[in-house]
Amino acid sequence: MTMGDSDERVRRGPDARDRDERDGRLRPEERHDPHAAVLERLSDHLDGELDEISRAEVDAHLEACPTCRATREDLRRVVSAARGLGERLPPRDLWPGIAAVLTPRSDARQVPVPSVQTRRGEPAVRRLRGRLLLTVPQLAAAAVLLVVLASSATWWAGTRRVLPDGTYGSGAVESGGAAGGGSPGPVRAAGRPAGIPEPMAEELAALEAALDSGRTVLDPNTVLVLERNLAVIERAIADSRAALALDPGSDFLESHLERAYERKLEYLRDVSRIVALAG
Amino acid sequence: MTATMLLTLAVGMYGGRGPVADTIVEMSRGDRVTLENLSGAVEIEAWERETLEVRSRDRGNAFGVRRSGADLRVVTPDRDGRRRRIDAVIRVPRWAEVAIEGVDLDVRVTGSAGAVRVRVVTGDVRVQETAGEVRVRTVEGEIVADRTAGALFLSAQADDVRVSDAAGALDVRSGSGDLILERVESASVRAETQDGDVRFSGPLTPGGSYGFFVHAGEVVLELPDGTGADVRVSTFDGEFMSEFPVVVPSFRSGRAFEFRLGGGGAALTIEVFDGEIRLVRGAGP
Repeated sequence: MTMGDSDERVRRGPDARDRDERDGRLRPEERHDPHAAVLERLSDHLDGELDEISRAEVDAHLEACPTCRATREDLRRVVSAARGLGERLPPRDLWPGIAAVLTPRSDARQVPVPSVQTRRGEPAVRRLRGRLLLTVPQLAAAAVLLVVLASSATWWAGTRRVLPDGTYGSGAVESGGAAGGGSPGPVRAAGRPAGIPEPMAEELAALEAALDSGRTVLDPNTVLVLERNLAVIERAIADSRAALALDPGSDFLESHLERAYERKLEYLRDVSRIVALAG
Repeated sequence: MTATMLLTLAVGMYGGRGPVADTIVEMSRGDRVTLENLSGAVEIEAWERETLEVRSRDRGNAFGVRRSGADLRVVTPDRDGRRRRIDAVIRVPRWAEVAIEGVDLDVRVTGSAGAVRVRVVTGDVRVQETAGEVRVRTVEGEIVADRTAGALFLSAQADDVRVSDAAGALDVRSGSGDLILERVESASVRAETQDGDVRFSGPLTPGGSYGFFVHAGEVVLELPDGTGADVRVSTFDGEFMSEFPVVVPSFRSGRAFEFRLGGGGAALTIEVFDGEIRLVRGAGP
């Protein structure tokens, strides 16, 4: 007779689930879907953060499962591609949100996870059983999103300076006039993020630079609306870049990313007119 | 030289109810009507007369019209230099070109055969029974076009775009709204939304070009039996379903493929990053 899940939990004590989450081992119910359980631990596996028993379980599954092996290779490429994009430090005011995503285990129940909801209500980052879980595409998105967040904080933050050549920053940018937690830290020199079509880079830079001042002349509610719309576009750009990291040669993804940038350009032109009207 | 051509006739003769002030200006072919920096509501109605008539629904809010060459600019008295809310009905010759720009402005355009251009930050825009080219952009506000014959270029950043019974070329876009295109008979359709669905119903013209581009959302194309198209489908994390028999002879990559629907003829491109693509059988023409 098979012992039920609730009986198992009683026998193992109330903290058994938490222990499982800490050590990364498969729980009995997860063994019913070994693929999902292994995929859930792939990131830790790649980072060498699993204990010996869990690593052996994952290794055994990977040896027998070509699908999960392929996923591991995809994930490895994403991590490698994300590292290859270079180091970019985010403006300081973005960091608490990013840190919350990066350190879910220490205080997952206390820190709200910042997420961009899709129209269909699916958060880009979701929690399951008290842990932050990411699907492989989401992991890819998260990796690239960090780079995007670091390199392309919206102009509303008032900390971004995009140069005419499309690069972000020109060496160290000193902390500006913003006060308190919003004060930007030094931004290191960074190259133009991959994917901005060259013909658009100059106009995007000019519009963003010109619009930095727009925040002061617009109604706060209008600012919120504009920020929300811009976030939708930025999410599409981040998604596309993450996907390109997985599938670098895809014509479809390249044109999809280009369209997202075109949309951003059109939108910023509209916003520029709004600022002009308000001013 | 800009001059005030014909100012308020101030027909405030309805005892405080109904129209308060009218402005009437003769127009010539090639004249263009412009309204800028407005808030409130504006209805543009095309009529057979060769005159521009501006009628305010607000008591005491009279309009003037200033001519500069072929441009007729509808202006509100604004001593403080601030934007005023208006509620007006403007009648224009059917052929007249109209340009409207506003911040918080609802716009309705009916019956025009001239070019219409509307840009608003917040507000709903409706065009109906138009025959000329229509260009509309909103940041927040729905766009509805019904019974149109000319080309439509419609972009709503945060809301839906709805088009029904359209016969001209369509270029419709949204950032986070749906694109609902019903009973469209056009040889050129392009629909793009980043976070919303696209629904299209209508025949595909042989030789016509149809493109549907979605980042997160679904594309549903309701096509009549006998539709012929050369179809290219691309998706990153989506699904494709068809009520029509489909044989896929070639995969351009793991996430893109091409096939011929019926005898081919129209060029149909569907690209969805994350969402479903469905071809469903619709009513015939």
